[in-house]
Amino acid sequence: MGDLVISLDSVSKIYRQGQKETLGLDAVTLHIQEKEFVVVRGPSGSGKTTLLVLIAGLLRPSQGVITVNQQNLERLNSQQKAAFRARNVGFVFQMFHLVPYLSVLENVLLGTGQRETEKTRSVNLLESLGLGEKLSSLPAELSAGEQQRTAVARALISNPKIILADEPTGNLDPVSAQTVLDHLDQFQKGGGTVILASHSDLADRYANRLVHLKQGRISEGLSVTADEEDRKGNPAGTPQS
Amino acid sequence: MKIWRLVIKEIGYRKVNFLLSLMAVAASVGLFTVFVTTGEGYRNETRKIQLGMGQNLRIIPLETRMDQFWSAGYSELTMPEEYVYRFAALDGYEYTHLTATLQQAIDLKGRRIILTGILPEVMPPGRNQPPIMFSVERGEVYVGSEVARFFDIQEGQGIDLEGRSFRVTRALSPTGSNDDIKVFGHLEDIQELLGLEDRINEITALECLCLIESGQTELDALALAEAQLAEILPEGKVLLLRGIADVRERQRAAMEGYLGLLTPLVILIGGISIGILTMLNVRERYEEIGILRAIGRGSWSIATLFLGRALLMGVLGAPIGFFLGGLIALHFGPQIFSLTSGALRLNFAWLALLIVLAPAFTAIAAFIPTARAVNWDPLTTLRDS
Repeated sequence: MGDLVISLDSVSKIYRQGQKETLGLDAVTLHIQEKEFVVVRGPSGSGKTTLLVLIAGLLRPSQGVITVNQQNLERLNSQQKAAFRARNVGFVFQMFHLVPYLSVLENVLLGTGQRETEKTRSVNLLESLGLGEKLSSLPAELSAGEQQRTAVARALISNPKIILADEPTGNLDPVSAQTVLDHLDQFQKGGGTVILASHSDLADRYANRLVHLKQGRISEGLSVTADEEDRKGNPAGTPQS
Repeated sequence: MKIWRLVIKEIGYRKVNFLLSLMAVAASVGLFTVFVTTGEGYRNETRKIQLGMGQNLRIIPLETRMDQFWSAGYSELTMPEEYVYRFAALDGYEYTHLTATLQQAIDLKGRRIILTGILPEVMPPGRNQPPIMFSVERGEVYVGSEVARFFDIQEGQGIDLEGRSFRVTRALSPTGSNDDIKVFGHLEDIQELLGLEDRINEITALECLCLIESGQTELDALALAEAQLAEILPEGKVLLLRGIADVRERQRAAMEGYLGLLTPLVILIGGISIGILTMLNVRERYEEIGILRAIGRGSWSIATLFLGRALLMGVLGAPIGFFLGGLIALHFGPQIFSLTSGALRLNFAWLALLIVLAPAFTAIAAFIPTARAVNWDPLTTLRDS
């Protein structure tokens, strides 16, 4: 493992809608190092997505400090946060969230300056994800697995340090899910950090570490750390003391 | 990826939505164009109808005997034609439909007729509105109904007046006034016939009577008009016909009130329809907003995506609406405003203004929902989409 890349200290998030308050995260402290593959587990509504969105700087915490890549996000304004995300973070969503009127290649290029080198790199990346024949297809013409691989390519194209993946396999068949997880695994092996939220155990065997969330809190005693050599070999969630 | 490329791609993908929005903008601009064009037609028509009542400002030679003037219908004295141009150049005096006449009764084959030379309408400096008063070309005359009937003159025939031959281009309908015994010609022709070159015996105009409207009395207005005109027209005498002005003013106020009520309504309804369609488009695109924020696009860049589309809609919708509205106004307008149908025309100054205003309107309509959407929690935006 490398340097500390993500640090959350006593981070809480409260959603307010009129008089109603909902606790999204409750005093979460979490430190993630470079080249970690962290799987955040927990049932729906446990705060997994909130955690990812806070790390991406898309939401402000109600309390606590978040530092990503040695940058305290609270000190950045919204434009600086956008630039920070563009440089450091790639996002993969459960619902793919591709722009419907852009082709596969254009969706990948969306977050880039669309220079010729980026275009070539995008084509190569898409080919490596098995989408070489679909470069000019629209999202509606793709299968769910192809759409998610496009989303993964979009997250990877800007060479981010961190990939945040929110239920990336939630809508995929097992084969497609495996392909997507393999690519995230490759990214991690290439030096990146992956934080993947999931309510299923499918991704557990890729994880260096499992973090369990329940009602916005990290469940005591359920966080586990897996050694590199044990990854994929161990069943999900087996504690390693 | 460049924002404009995204704008064009989105339009290509949601063609129907864009076409509907474009039609809404074009319909709003078209409605406005029909309204202002026919509104102007309405004003012209009203002025023309009011002219039948006669002009309310008359300037006659200073020494005119009023018993002679009222009995003959014109002054037997004359004043310099130059007065009409001095009056036209008078600063700060509101008037329209300024003209000058030279009238004199002559004997034509045993019948008394009134020769009337008319100067083509003189526009105030810097104003270029279509003339409403009729004017006669040189070498031609219009004859009153009684003259035409008595001498059995048809349009297109010739007529000899004081040894000169003229072509009758119009035989006028009966008016029930002394116009029926007049022969109207160009001022210069009549001046030559009467040997009164560069002389006139009346200046007529529609005066706005703004002073009376703003609370001053009729006497004040008359005194002020006399004082102002005495300096530049020392040989002129001012007559203000208050009764005509009152009726005219009431009718004009009713017309302006009607147009003044409808104009903001038309703009408001157009603006609301554009705003609703733009809001619907923004709502349909919450997912894009969430995606673009998640991949690191700034708020301004995202706002530009929506504002760009709205601007394009306004820039394209304005000329389409203007010309469609213009076609409708010019097709149906003449059927409504028969007296001034020739004066009904498209004002291209509006086109220039609409090309600026319509995009501004669409951009403002798009700005509010876009500004709200880019500030929303992206998590909610993506979940809702």
